Amino acid sequence: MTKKVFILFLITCQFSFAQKADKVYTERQGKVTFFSYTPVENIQASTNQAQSQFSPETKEIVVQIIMKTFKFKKSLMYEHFNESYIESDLYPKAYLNAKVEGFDSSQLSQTRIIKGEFILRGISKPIEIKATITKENKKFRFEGDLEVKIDDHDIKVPGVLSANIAKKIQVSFNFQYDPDEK
Amino acid sequence: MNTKQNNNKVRIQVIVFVITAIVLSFFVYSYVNREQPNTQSFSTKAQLTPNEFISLFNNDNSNLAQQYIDEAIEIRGVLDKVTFRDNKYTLFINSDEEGRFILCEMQTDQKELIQDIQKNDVVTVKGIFKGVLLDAILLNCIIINETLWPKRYSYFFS
Repeated sequence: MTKKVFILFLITCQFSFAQKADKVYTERQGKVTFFSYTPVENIQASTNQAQSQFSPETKEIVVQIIMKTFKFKKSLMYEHFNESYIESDLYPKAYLNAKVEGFDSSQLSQTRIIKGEFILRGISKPIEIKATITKENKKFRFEGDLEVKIDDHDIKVPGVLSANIAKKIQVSFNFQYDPDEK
Repeated sequence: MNTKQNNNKVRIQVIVFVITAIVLSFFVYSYVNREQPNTQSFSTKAQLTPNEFISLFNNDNSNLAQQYIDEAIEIRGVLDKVTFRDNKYTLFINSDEEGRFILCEMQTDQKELIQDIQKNDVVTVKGIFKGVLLDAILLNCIIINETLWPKRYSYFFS
């Protein structure tokens, strides 16, 4: 009887100390802004609907953006962006699949490199992004910026407008991750 | 006399040309610099519940869903929360799928109406549908008066 109770106890311990499921943090209103600076024209657009999930255990991060959520000052810029440059009807979303190198969930503030693949217009390119990560009230905030070359993703600019669009687009982001409530 | 008449003719033609150029320039400038129109001015493509809406984006219905992109959609559902980020209000409307919402980023002129609503209220919003990620996303949303929702134009479930 004692042996059976002991074995039952061991089995119970096994379940108790079983690895807990990864806790996932989600951002549903991530802000992403891009800037194109040229002597002829400066263009800026932003979205507050980038959605992302981050796992502190696996250090993996996934970001998705609907390109049509980028807002411009002028409707015509929105139309050109979606119809001519991004071709949003064919490639509606941009994606990032990456890992935060050396992430330490115990630190309140850290600067890390996010390394992975960035997919725009169906073309995947390796990317490294420097991000400042802060932890506050069980939430994580990621802020940083990066550069995207339009040639890397086969974004074609008509010759007439080539002076209006920069070859390298500056992108900045600000994400605040909340723990999933499940 | 002929010379004088010719000069007058030329003068009139120049004046007409200049006026035409100014008027055309005005229209071109207005077209190039136009801003996003108010959602109130868009005719509604469909009136749906959150579940009808989200079910459009199951793989079987993705073609049907595409026709709603950049169209004005009215959604009536239960409010989960209101957030205020980056100087913008966003309404989160529940669906039956756990963890999936209809996100409605509100137009700036909706601030006063937003103050009158709270969690678990039934709200009707109209916005421009952009697509679905974790949630269905609508922009430039306005709150619709409940009395203006007499019929349901549910294209999918009719």
